[in-house]
Amino acid sequence: MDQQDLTQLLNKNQSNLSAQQQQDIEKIYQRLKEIARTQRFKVKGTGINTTALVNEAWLKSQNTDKTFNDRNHFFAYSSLAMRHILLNEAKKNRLITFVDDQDYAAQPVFKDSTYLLDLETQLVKLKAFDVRLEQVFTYKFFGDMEFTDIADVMGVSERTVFRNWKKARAMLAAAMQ
Amino acid sequence: MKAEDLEKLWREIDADFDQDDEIEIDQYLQRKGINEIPVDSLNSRVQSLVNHTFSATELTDEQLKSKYRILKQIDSGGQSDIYLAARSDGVYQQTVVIKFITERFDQTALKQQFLQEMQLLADLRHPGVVTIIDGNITDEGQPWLVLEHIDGPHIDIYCRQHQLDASAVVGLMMNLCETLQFVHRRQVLHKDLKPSNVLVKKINGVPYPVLIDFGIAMQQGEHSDLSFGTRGYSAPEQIAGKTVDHRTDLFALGVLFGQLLLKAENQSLVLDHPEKLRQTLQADAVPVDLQNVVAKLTAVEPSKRYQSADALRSDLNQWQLGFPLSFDNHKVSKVLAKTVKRHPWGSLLLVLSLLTAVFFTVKYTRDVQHLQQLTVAEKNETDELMNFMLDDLYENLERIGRIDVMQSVAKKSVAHLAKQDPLTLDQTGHFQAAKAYANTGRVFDYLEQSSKAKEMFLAAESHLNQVNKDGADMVEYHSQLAQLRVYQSQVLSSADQEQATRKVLQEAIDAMQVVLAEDPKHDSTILWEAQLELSYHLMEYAKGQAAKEQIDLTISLAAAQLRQQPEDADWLYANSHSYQLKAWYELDFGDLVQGIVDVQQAIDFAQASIKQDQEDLKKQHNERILHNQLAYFYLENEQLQNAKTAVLLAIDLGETLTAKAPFNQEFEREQAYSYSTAGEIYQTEGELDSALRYYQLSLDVSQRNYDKDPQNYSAANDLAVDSLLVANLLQQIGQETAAQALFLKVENLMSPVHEAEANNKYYAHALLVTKLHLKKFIEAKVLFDIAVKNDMVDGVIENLLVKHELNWLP
Repeated sequence: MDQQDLTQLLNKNQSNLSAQQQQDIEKIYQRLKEIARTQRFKVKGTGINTTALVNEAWLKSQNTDKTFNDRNHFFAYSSLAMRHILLNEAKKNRLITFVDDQDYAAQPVFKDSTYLLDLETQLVKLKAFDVRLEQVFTYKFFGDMEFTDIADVMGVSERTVFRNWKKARAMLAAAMQ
Repeated sequence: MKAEDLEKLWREIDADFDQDDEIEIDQYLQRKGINEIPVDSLNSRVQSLVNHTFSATELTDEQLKSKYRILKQIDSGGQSDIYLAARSDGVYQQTVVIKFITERFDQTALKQQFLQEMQLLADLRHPGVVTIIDGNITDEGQPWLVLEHIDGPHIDIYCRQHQLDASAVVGLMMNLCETLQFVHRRQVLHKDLKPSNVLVKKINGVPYPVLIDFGIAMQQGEHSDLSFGTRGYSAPEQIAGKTVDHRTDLFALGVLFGQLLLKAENQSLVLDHPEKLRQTLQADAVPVDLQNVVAKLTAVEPSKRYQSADALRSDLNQWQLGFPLSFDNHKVSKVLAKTVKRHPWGSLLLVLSLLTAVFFTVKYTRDVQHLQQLTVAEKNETDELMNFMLDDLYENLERIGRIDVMQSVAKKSVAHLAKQDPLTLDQTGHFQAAKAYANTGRVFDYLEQSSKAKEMFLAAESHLNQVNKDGADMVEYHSQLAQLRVYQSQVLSSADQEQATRKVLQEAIDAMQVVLAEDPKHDSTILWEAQLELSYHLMEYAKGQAAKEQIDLTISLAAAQLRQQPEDADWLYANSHSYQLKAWYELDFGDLVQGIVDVQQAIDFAQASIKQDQEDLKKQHNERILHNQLAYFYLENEQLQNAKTAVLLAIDLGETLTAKAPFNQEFEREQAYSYSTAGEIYQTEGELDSALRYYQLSLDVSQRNYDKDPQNYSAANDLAVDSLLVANLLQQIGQETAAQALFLKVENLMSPVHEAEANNKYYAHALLVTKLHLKKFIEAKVLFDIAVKNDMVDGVIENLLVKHELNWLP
């Protein structure tokens, strides 16, 4: 996985991944799930910390397969995977709220799902408006990457990244009000 | 907001931040009139969705999704997530529990194992075990189970809510024992027994405990996995990671039981050590017997615990009925105390007499002078007690195999009887003395001290003779004489005194004829015993025709008595023995197939007698012996499969018996016979490994019995016979050195036994076989001549003669 692959992936429509890309994402998803399990096992009762999750996944990937030789690229890729995963999950959950009792719609997980689906709609628009804003948002929000690392991945200054992050948040807030 | 408006707004934002990237975003949005809080991170925004996504709460498996709909999460633990779900495939309405096991099985081998274990659990159909409805492993390797939903509280909550007393708790525990026994017999362990894994469900309004949450990967004999088990309930061997077995479950059951017996306010105490539990039980004034039961269950050493849930159940049953518990059995005082409870007629006498007994025993041994001043009445009272002890106590002690206690009782009796002055005795006194001597003789007979026994029987006879001269109650005289003669016949037969045995048995029969002529309603058990013994005796000396006549008499007597009392357990038992006798006759002199039919008939009677009297272990022992016999007959008839079925059933019954009466050597010895028969069957089939395993089991039992009682020649002989079987098989599979070592051991064991009881043909036979194996031909020749004389030259010896090219046969 090099810079070129990543860019290519980022530029693609998220719902239109190749089989290989879907497989890669699935692989990361499985790994994240596994780690999530052990994490939850350690600290029962608290929620899953996605940052710790991705960090752990990176450490594991270093021990096992070496698909990613660059930590930042791995994190960037994981951000995408995370976005994809949560989106899929939210879609599934919304389907349930359509068919099942209204009780379920009141549960936090279904509220979250609706929120995330709305956010996705706006992200598609944001991408159309300025692809860099959408990228920064994805890295930071879904992958919780450091600004300096995002700057490294995107080949821009840290300040630009920070500015774009602020822009994206403000724009999405405006869109979702 | 319209798309154009939004785009316009976004352009403004874009421009504003380009101008000043230090803008504080919250304030900026406020100024713009936007109330939406800007998103910052997944964890603050969609934590529930994140948790949901990564906790595998969704039904990913197609098989599951199509059938069930999750209602709510019930529990989430380190090892599994548990949900309540409804069946949604429209087949029928049912609430179920779906359990996702955290452990992942990625390798095919592990998956296979998991599925096999699921199958094992699914096969456990019992009202006390939660039913597995469905189960599989998802493509991601996550196992899931669908279980019956038990709608009931945890057992501790149930007990508190209903304020159950000790007796009701014991009732629930007995149900639980039944379930555990069922589970354990199928080699499944629970491994995590605790209140939250036992639910109480009402079945037709009656509370019944149901086991849920079996540990996975749990075949017996595996090493324990630390992730299973719960602190406080886990047995020491489980915590130490050693091999666990069904007794590990019994430990946890003990802690659970103890907890339920505590006062409500103490039930929540953390009792992470059995000692703490014991102290709390004591403080809460729980019945002492139940405290002892808990202590026995929670012993550190598995071998000191109850050895099966059945054994525990039997004790709890005993407790509810007020009978002695199994571990009380080695305490004579307890047996006595409980015997009193069971025999109201004897209690007054016994309570009085117990005091006098201690008094007199001390007196008799210390103050012979004083004894002579005692009145005849007082002496008779003591004799009566002695008789009571030797009669009723004998039954109890024999049942539990406490021969050491029997021995000391016998010694005391002899000491007591010897100090009597015959001249001071009246008729009653002589009758009692005779009975006391006869019973003491029985004890010595049981202890295989035949010369001592004979001595006692002679003393009994001399007392009876004195009564006779005085012209006393002839019915009493003759029935005692008949009983004495039957006892005597048993010590004579092992010393091989053909004529004497036949003579005493005939005298017993004659005496009983006198009794019955005088009093036709008199109990004819002794007559039947005499006929049975005589039949066996005649068979032993190859008097086929005479034996047949006697057997017919025996059978028709037992049948006639049963017709009068069709539900009498003892006559059912006697009928069973009569057909067993006939079966042996058929084997030796008649038709083997008829013999098999007779054994089956005997088994039917045996089962009927047990049905009438379920507590008597002797009757259960009888049924087991018969299955052993059946196996032997089938083996003789070359019906290997039937033989195997019969012997495995005998082993099963025997294990139950051993659990109920762990101290009874006779039960164990018979179990050893089952094992060696099983060994023989497998050896015949050519399955030498299985054969060796069973022979070895038999040898272990014999060795144990011998170690417990090294003076018992019969135990030594059993050990010798089993050692020879193992040694022989070892030779067959080429382990010559081990075989030779075993032969030498048998030689050392049996030489002194043969010396002491030179007339016993079985001891001589065992030693002869050993000497032949050891190629000590000169010594063997002497023994061979004895064997020829005793008609003990069998196939084993003939084969050995051929093997060593010895031309001794005429």
